[in-house]
Amino acid sequence: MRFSAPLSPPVFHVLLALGDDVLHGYAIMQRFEEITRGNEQLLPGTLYVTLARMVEQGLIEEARPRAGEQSGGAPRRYYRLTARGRAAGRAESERLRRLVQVAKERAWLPETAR
Amino acid sequence: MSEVLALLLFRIAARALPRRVREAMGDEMQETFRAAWRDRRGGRRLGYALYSAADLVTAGIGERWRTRETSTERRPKVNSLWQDARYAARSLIKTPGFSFVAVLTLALGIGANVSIFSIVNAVLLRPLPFENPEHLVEIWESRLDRGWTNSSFSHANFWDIQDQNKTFTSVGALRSGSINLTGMDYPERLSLGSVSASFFRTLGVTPVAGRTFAEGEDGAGADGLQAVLSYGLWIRRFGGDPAVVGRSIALDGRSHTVIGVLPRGEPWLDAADIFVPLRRVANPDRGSWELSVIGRLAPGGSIEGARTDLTSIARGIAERFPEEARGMGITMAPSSAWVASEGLRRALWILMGAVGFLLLIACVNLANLSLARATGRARERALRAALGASKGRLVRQALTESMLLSAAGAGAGVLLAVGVLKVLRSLDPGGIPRLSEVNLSPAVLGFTALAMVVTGLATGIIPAIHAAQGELGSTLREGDRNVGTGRGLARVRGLLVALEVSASLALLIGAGLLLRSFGAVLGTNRGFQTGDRVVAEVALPNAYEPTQVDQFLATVAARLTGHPGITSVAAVSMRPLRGVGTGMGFAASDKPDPPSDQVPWAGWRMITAGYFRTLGVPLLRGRDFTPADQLAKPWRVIISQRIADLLWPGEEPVGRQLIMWKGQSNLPAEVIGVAADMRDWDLAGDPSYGVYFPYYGAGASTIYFVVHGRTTPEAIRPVFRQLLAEIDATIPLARVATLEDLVGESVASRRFIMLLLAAFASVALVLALAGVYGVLSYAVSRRTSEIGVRLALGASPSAVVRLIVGQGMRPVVIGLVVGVAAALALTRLMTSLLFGVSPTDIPTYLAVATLLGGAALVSCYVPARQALGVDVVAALRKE
Repeated sequence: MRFSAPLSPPVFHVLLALGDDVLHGYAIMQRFEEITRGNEQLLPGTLYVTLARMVEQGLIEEARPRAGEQSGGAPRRYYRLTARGRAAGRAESERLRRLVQVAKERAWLPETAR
Repeated sequence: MSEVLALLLFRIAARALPRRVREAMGDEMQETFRAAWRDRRGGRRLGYALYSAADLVTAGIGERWRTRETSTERRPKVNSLWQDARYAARSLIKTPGFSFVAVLTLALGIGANVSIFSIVNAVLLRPLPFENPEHLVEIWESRLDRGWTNSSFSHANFWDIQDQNKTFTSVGALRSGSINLTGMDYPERLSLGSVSASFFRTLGVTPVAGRTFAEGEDGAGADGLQAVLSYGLWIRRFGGDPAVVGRSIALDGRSHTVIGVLPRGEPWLDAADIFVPLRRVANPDRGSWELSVIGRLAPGGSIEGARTDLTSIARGIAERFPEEARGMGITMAPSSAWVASEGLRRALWILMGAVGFLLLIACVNLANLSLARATGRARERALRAALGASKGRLVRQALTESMLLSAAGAGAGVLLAVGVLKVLRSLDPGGIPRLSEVNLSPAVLGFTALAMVVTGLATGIIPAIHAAQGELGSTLREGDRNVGTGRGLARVRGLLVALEVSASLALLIGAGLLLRSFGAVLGTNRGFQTGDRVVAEVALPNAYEPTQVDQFLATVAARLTGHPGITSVAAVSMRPLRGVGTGMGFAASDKPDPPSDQVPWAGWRMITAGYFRTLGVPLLRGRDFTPADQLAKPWRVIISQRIADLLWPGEEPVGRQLIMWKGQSNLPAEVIGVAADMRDWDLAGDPSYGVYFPYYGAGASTIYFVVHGRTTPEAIRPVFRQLLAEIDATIPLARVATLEDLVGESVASRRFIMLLLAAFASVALVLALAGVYGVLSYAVSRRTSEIGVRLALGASPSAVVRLIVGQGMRPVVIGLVVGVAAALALTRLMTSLLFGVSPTDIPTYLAVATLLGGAALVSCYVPARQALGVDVVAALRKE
């Protein structure tokens, strides 16, 4: 099945945060905050509901943590992208790129430097 | 907020999730929440917990909605819940009077809480608009030898800590000033922020257009002709056009290139209308303190570590410059204190406590009402129990009813809060930051949900316990009549009344103290007259020569004085009650020097001849300035009475030498006059030590003209406009207002807090009186036959009234005593908000207790009079 419909933002955010890693929920949350430099956050409720749904839809799957990544404390579930999840992420990025292209043509995005 | 509470809130909110998700994910999700909660500090934790709870509820509802077709798992339970809810709704509709009063009571309590929490959330809890704000700190110099704890930085000291520190990613500095924007459709005086190139980088700000200053643009060799616009100025003067980046604008006549636009937000981003680089000069001074300094801690660094680092740098500076930097130290505070001052934080938390009390009173009131209603329905409940309803079911029924009421109350309360916030925003009293951003955010809605659940439980729990205790057989036999007169229940009622009375007494006392403080601030002897005085602010270009400024002062004074209705005109460099002052240490040349940490501080102003006369302040000795008195040629000053009394008690001060900027430049000046004292920096303080210089020859750029006469700002404004257009069309007229209004503004936030607390206390008073009345009149209605018997046996009406009033007043008196004790304990927290009145002010306590006691007496008298109207025969027949 091809994912041409837009992904909901939390789903896309989880895909982006996971990337090629095997991470547990808390790490996904932290990774996402790093990516957005603390400007956006994934709250626990949205995150875990999204994770459950993404597993159901086959976008991510549970996996064993990589060696050395297993932390102490309570056991946690680790996740990684499936091929389908990766494809969905690519399709969404492509879709966003086309939209950003239009925004640039409208001159809504002056080239910003810091 | 404690971790246990946060987890409890989270767990309650997690009930919104479908069971499937909760069972699979619940524990781990809670662990994640706990870890993320621990990552945060201080007030941000409460915000995070509320946002997370609100997010859980919405995520849970969304997930249930998505899977609604497939879930049939818990039908039966839901059905009985639904049944309970429908039953409760039906019985509430059947007693519309009760339901209306209940919902109104809760709406007042919850609405007040939601309103204040919205403000607390926006002002105290919402994160700052910067990257990782928890790493940001503000830094001050301290000079404990002079008794300064938080002083602005001097230029040289700032550059030194920037170069030498090892614990910050970066530090930045800001100097405030003003500048004229010209060359556009009309000239305008702008507030100016000169910032080191590192300033915005330190904050971690992403510009909405263009860029912020780059490394080197603040260097000694740089031209400094770049400008960054604040968001407000960008919208107001440039229509929000991104193409403004790269454009040239004229500031004080010099062309600057706009390189970027800041995002909206507070603080710092709105510190000035426009920002330019703060250039590093070759020989910076260590003797004038004018830089606000911020720093971003290096990852993993702590405030303590940074303090140690900077303190050792400060010690090094003090060793190298023993004259200028003796005793230099460092003070630091986390960014959490940026938005609201300590006083405002305290005031807001006090208001939050006050509305908490109000909600408590509302809950108690409703619990009492429900209890009365429940006893009235004892028979109905006994019947249901006899027909097989379990005790658990009866308890749940009672709780469902109170939950339904509190949900309706919360709904109405939110509507009320929307209205209240709208009014507050449009009133904007000043002094409350971010008021325009106050809204019903997810955190506020989460808080409302929490308040609703707590209220539902609090009002339902006593009737529910009562419901479970009902004695079946006797109730069915005797009917409703004799139920509810039992001793235990009467005692519970009495306790509830005492609780309401004590809570409302504490609130009223708090409001009374603020009211008296406010009166004291306004009634304090200001020293200057405010009636018939108008103040106009004019900003000359910084490039004006002193002679041009003198010329300007003379022209304006001459032209205005000739105007009908105007008695006199004078100019001053800083109008009364405007911000913090320009200050100096002072001493007398003919007296022994005080120890260096006890040098008194004076605020100084520059004035033209006639300033004192125009403000209605008597010149007690010596003479006024004339245009011949040029600034510093030689130094001549007029001092305030307090300085004269301090330095030369009982002696003639005129002709003596005053040492100015004691401990810095130690300039001698001749005292030529003494003026009466004024409270011209802060009404709620001691009269200031005032030193006055002549304006002539000073060349200062911001000028406040004070006009005395029968005139209004509306009449003065066009006169000034025309005058300025004739003299120099590029000079903007900033603001024209009556001195009366300026006094009002200086106490605006005080008035705002006082009015809010007074409003809450009034609502609390009404609720408490309603409680006293309701409980007593219910008790009287239950005792009609007893009263009838007493009257039949010859009891006098006054004895019956005494009996009833006595019964009603007992809990009130207990409440008053407890309330006074609570107020004594709680009002100590508000000491910093009070002025001219102590937190244990006896007249206030007496007046409030008398008011409340008297009103309660009236509410008791009404049911007692009703008791006298009892039809003796009918009452006896019922027996």
